[in-house]
Amino acid sequence: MSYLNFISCATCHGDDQQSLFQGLLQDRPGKLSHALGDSPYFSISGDFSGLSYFQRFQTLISQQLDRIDWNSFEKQKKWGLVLASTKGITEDTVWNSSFSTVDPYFELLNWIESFAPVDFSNSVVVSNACSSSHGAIELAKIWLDHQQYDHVLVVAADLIGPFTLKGFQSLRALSPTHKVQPFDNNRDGLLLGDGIATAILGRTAQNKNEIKVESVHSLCEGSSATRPDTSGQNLARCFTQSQNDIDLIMSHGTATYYNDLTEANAMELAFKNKPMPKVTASKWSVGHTLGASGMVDLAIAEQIFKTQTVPGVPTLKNCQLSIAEQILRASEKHEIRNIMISSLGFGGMCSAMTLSCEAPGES
Amino acid sequence: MRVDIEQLDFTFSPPLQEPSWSPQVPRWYQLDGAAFALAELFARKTRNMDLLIMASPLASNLTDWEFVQSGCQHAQKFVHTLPNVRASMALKAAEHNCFSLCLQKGPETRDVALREFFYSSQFQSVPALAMVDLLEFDEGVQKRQVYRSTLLTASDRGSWRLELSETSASDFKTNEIWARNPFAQKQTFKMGPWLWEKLS
Repeated sequence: MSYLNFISCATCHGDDQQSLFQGLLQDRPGKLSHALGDSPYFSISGDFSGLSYFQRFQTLISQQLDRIDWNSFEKQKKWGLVLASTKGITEDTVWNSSFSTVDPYFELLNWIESFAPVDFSNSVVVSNACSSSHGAIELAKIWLDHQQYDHVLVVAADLIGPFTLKGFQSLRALSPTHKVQPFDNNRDGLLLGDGIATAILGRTAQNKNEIKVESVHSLCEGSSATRPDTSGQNLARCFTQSQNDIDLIMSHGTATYYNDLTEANAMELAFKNKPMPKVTASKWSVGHTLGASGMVDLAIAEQIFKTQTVPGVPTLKNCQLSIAEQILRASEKHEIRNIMISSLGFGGMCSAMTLSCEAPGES
Repeated sequence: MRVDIEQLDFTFSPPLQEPSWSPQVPRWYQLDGAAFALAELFARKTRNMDLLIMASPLASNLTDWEFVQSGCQHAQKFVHTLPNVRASMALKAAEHNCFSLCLQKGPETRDVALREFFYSSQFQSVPALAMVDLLEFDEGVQKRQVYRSTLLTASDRGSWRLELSETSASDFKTNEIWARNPFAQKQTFKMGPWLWEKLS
């Protein structure tokens, strides 16, 4: 059993998931920064002038860790630590005249380990591209389900810097119109976004309304380095391994042509013989937070369970995909007990995380 | 439990010869050195695995740097700045797919990956651990890089047993290799100085 004992996140909307959720409910995209040139990105607010990227990570992660009421956890229990990240942390060394022989993730992992007021029996970084959050939670769940640890702190963190931005420019994956329109006929690419999220998963629930992480299923499909198998069959395999009746799918919804097509096809395949859930997405408002995106969606899912209100995708105007009718355009009240969070990542990563809540709507 | 260990030293020095696995990876010429070295090993025979743990102690630092040095223009280079992509290309070369987990922990990457490999053998049918090390790097015109790719595949649960299969590493057979269950009370695991020094 794995329960979400705590979650918090910082995005372009603010330093908690409540501000993010309000932005989504108000159909409001977050703050765009042009600090890195022509291609804007959704940035976390703050005075980071003069700080290295490592220091920015430290500042933002410490703010999230300080939100945790550590006294409500038994510190003497066995703890594990997983950091999910992709490229943000490389910004400080990658521009040097020779290549770095130091693993960029290692220093950050060590710092988190020393900052958090518990002793970790084990710690590791999961770098599964944009599915890193799913991979980290899957690993945490394995540790908890097999009783290796009592609690696992999962930190998902990616900040946008010149390296990442130039990389996505080279891929021509960024929206030239600067509009993120998941599943829309006119979708023309993604915008990147900063994201920092922390969660504590435990073997037992501390409250009756806590989210249960039912399952995480992932697959490396070995299709193409950047492009998923657009038939959706491999992502559908991840979807169908869940035993729950899903009320809502929080799609990866990057607004790239192939991502959205793949997700739509996967949903069609997986829910061919059962009711198709409602579908929503968040990247139109927070951007693609890369390795943190799954955890940011997990923080949004927590708010959906609490409020029983599902944000829509207001940038969606016209959609010819098979799931068009299921995608919410505006916020709606729904009875939500089971949510699936979908993810796709470079290197053929497909992933689906299923959550349930026994007492939704109670706080 | 039986553990098959395969290891291959591979020199990556463009221009490259078309590999035998090119039908599976049509854009083989876009792979970085680490992905190429791993694909060479994976394509050698058919294997069954349901979990692939990927361990790259140096992450994708060299490819990150090469992307920057090339003016951040080449998308095919940027793709390989994610260290999990090399696992994907290796699986593609082997015409296989499964759950893949890319783990990093600096100089402790091998240890933590090996630990997860043995731990996962308790609930995965056929876990595997792939590791790629950069042994030599020449910045000159030749851009010569030498990699060592290693693959451990576990099967047949039960008592611990190591079996060595294909290898081209000359020092492989000369080192003492032994293993005990790292989750037993007295945990010791050592596989020779060429591979992992210590895991407790």
